[in-house]
Amino acid sequence: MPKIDYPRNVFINCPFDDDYLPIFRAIVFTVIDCGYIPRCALELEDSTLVRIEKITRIISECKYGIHDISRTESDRKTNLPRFNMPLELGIFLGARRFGDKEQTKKACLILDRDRYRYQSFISDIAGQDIQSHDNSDLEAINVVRNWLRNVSARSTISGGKEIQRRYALFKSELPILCEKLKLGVDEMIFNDYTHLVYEWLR
Amino acid sequence: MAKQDNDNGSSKRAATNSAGSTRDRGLMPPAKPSKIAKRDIIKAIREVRAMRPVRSA
Repeated sequence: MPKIDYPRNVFINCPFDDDYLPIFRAIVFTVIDCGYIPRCALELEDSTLVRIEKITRIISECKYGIHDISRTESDRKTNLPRFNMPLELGIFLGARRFGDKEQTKKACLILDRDRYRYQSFISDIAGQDIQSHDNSDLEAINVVRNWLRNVSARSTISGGKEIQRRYALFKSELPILCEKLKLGVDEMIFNDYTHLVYEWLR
Repeated sequence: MAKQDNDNGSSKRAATNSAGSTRDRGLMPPAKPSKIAKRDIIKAIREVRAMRPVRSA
C-alpha cells in the first residue's frame, strides 16, 4: 500500500447528487491541478466498512478539507435538513482540536451558496474560512484555488483564470474521452475521474 | 490563518502537457486505483488531443 501523503491530501466533503456534480467535478479538477490529491468517501468500495469509519479514516489522512454545506436545507418530503456535511465538518474540526501534532495542522475551507447563510443554522463555525461558490463551477474553481494558494507555500499553483480555461477545455473533451473509453459521462466513478483528470493534466 | 507548509513536491514534469501548459506544476497521482487501464486513458487522451484544431501562427 502506498504511503499516505498527509500534507498533499484534501478531503472533499460535499453532496454526491446529480445536481451538485458540476461543482464537485470542478473542485476535484482544481485540487489535482493545484498539485494536491482529492480524497472523499466515494473512493472506497469496501462495503464491509461502516460509512463513518471510512470517513474518519480518510479525514485522518488529510491535512486539508473542503466542506460544502450548501445543501444543508429542509428536504421537501421529510422537512428535515440533510446533516451529513455538517457532521463531517464537525469531525474534521474535532480532529484538528483534539488530534495529535499532525492533525492539529489541519486547515479547512467551508463553502456555501451564500457567504453568510451559515449564521442561521450553524453559527458556531464563525471564524472559519467560509466562502461562497454561488452555485457556479467556475466560481468554485476560483475559491478553491485561492484558498489552496493561501494555506500552502506551493509556488506552482496557476491563476484561477488559467485553471478555469483548462477546466473548460477538459469539460469540452470529456464526452469524447468517455466515448473512447466506452463510458457514459455521468456514469464515471470517482476513481476513474481522478485518473482521467490527472493524466489529462500531465 | 492556517500555518503555511512546505509541501512542494514530487512528480516533476516539464514537457508540454495535454492542457497546453509547459510549466512544472508538481501534479500528484490519485490515491486509489482506477478501474480503467492507464494505457487506455492515455490512448484516449492522445486521440482527443490529435483532434484539436491547429492554431494558426
